[in-house]
Amino acid sequence: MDLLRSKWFWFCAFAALFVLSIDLWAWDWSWSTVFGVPYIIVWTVVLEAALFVMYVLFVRYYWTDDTGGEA
Amino acid sequence: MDLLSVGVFVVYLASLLAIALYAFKRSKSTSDDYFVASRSFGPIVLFLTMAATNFSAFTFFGFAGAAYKFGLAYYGIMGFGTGFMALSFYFIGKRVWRLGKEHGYITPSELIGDRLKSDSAGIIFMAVMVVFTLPYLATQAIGGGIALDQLTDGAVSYELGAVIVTFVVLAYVLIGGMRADAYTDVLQGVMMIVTLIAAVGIVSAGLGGFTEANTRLAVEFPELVSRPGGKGFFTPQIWISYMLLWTMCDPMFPQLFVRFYAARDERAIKFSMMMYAPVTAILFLGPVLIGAWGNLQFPGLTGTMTDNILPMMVGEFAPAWVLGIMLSGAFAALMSTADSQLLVLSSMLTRDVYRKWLRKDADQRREFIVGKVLVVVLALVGLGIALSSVETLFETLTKTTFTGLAVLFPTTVAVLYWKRVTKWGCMASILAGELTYAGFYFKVIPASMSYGFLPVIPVVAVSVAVLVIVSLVAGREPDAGTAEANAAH
Repeated sequence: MDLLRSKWFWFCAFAALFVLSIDLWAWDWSWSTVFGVPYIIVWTVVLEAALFVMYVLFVRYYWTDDTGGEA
Repeated sequence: MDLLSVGVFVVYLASLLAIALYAFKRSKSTSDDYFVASRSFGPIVLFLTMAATNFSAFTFFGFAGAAYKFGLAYYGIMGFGTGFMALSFYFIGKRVWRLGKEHGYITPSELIGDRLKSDSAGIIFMAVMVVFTLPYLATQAIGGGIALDQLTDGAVSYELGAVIVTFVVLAYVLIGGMRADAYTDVLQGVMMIVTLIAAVGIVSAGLGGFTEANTRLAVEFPELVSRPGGKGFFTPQIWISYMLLWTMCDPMFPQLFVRFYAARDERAIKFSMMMYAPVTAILFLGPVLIGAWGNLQFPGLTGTMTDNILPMMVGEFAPAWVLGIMLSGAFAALMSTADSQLLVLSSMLTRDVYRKWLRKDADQRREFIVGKVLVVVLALVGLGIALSSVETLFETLTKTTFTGLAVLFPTTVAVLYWKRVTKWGCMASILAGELTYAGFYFKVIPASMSYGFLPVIPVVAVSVAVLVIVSLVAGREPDAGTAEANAAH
């Protein structure tokens, strides 16, 4: 839990998610998945789900009333 | 023109006015209540009004049109990009809310000017917000014109449609101010989500089913189901540019900025941040799918016609009476943004120009009246721009509003966090950024100078560099209040 209260953990976690969104290794992938939905849509939904979980944890463990001095 | 369809739409507009009257009964005749609803919004209202305000005519029309041209990869840029932007609710929203509550700020420029102890810096900040929000306001009327034209099969022209939408928004903003704005946003936010999901179902059924629609798109237009997309639009530089563009420009939309002031407590802002990821995932998926599928039914559209693809697709497959409901969702998106923009522009001109320069002894009652007059003036200006616009929504916004407002991001972050920032650094940063942007816009600076990125990247880089250098060179003034003062709160 201490990790989830670390500024640097969250900085690295959100930066990593940003980099993952630019998935260069799959730049031109066009294969279809379930219901014919292409990769780029599924990947974005996965990113959004990860982002939601991260926001929930961020608000629960990091964004407390005494974090006003941290950027 | 289907009368039932139009009837549904009229009932929807009447509902908005009824909500505005309810808000009016709960309101007080003060500028604080009219412009920021006495800082009373709880989690649900704040989240829905943030989302409804953020999703505009661009979401329904411009974005669907862009997906028609460039493909499904737009979902990543818009959906995840906007969800990621909500991180700024913490590093900007939290402090803006706190400072607003402690000092009674109502406009964004009041915070900037007061923290820097400089009216000039506040005025420059305000001027940039007003200048670059006006085209955005105009696009809402453009979207309204498109939708009404489609709803009535051309019986109501684009121009008349823009006028009708402008006057409906004007009516409920005049009646209830921010409170009416937010309460109607709750209805409009729900309308947007429900109608978009329904529209995807109706359109995909018309194309032979969800799987069939996607499969056909992949076979007939393979370039639209992956990057680099139609016309090779998506490059890594463009992708990174858009991700950063939303993060920097969205919190600088004055209509979103002031919503931080309107929060009742931090819990409301936290809830909005958490819910932004799922709501962007849902709301952006509908327009991008329908826009890209539009190539299957209406291939070969060009120019401003691409902005019509969403209502065209819904009109093609939905029963006539359902079209009225579907397009009410589009109206919800554009009106919920237009009302917020009108209100915040009016508040800035009332507080930062009228009260500060023209009538320093104006009380809250007088500000309230002047604010209402300015709402009318601004609505007419936005309508005028809409009636003279010939560009697509996408072009109008990406060329003007988004980059112009992103220039304010470095100043805002510095004022909230950097102890050594000075008013000279901020003013120089804004001016240098806007001049660089003008250089790109008017092609004085060659496009090659952005190295494949959108102009916003070099423009903000210049803003940051000038902010840091000038602040360090000019030195900190003894009475300048910034992060040091914040830390003490």
